[in-house]
Amino acid sequence: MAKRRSLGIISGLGGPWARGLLVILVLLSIAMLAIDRARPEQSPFFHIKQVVAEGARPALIILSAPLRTLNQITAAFASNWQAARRVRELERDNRNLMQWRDLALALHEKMSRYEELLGAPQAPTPVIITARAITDAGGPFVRARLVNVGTDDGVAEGQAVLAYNGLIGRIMNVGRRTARVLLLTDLNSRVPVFITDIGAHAILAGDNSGAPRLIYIERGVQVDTGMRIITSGEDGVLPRGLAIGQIAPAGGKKWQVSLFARPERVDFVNILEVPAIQFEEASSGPTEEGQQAEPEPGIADSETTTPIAELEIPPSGGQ
Amino acid sequence: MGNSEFFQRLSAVIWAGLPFFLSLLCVMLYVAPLRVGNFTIPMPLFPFMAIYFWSMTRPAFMPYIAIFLIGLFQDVLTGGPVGLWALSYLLTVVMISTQSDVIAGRGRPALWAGFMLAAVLATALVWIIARIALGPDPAGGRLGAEMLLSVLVYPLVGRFFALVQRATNQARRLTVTSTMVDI
Repeated sequence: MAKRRSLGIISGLGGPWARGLLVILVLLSIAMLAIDRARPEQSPFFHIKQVVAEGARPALIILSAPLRTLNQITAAFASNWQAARRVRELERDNRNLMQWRDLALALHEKMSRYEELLGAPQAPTPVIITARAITDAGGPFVRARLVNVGTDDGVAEGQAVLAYNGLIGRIMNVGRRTARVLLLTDLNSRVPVFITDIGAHAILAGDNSGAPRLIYIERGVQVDTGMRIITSGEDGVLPRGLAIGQIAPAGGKKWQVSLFARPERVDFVNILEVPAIQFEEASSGPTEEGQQAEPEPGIADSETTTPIAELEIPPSGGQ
Repeated sequence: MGNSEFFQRLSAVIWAGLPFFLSLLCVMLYVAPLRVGNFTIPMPLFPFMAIYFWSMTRPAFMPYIAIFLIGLFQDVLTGGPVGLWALSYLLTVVMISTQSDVIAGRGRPALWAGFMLAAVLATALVWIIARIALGPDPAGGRLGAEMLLSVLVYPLVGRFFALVQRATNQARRLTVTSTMVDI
């Protein structure tokens, strides 16, 4: 057996102390594992993880740059490989979406009128913070990704994180310039959801696989494959109505959800900052539409933030 | 203490610390996102390759405390359970060190074969610990893929570590020679 000799210059690391040190380190590892698993979000390591991520941010950005270029090259190659088929699919989707857009605009207009008639408090306009993922999904035991924005950009714990086609997770931990996103697929992720087709509530529980499970489904409802899942907003953390995925069978009487967005594949994400609803009783006067949508000072100046109201609706092509 | 002695000590510390800092860099490479086309590619266990290489060839450059800190850094950076990789790496190195006489000093094929054994051992250990700590099905598929990829790319990465090791040896020799000339 190769002996772990002391380097001399770093005494105490090898030689006669090695075995004693080894036992201490093994016990320390077990103790840390026990502490961290007992209460993950109250563990002393919860904030240490963010501090370390914050320190490693520059190196992670530099290291991920060449890999990102490689990703882009391979993605471009894969995209060109099936370009003709994709163009046909996109044209078909575009035609469908034009119809949905017209319907959505009509419903939005109708809804605005009803809200005006009922005097309902105006829903705040969410602000989108665009971020880039700088790490992978975190290895085999955790489904979390670091993004390159933090409190300086207006990010806060609990905010929803979306890809262009659906929810992928929520902000679990936030530092000044980085934030950790807990993906829907993570073992610790629990999100209250709403099955739109039958109006039933359930909980979406991650299990580290690609398709989270659907648990605590309301009794007496008949769940079926293909039903659409959105956030219910009952946790008071995520806003209601964010698209998540469709129900798929998981064997037996169990159900899982096929997510619209693939959290592990997303490079750029949108973090949704939803200001609290301003009730008229609480405010001194009638609230103006522009006031509520206005983000905090500093946040609006950031390149990464865009109020949803300002997002341009693409001109309807093919008309 | 003269200037030359101070610089000699400083240089020795830097060279001795190189495997450790290279391993930390490997951890950051391990968490970097890699995709080919529409597929997410699992990253090989670069930090474990570094730990194994120096534990077999120059154990003095990879003391237990360094292995522990590398594992801890991996746990913290991935956001996973703290202590999981640290414990797994420590136990694997202890077990594989018993075979170091068979593995080390017998050329690259022996080192690679040893790495296969070590990678299987480390993966099995981390899976067992995760199963106890996290509950059922702790993503064995992804772990297996990472292990296989690590075994496949080890000859290449091991060669790079060997080059670093050679450069380190030369630099240390030069430092000692220059100090002797000063004397």
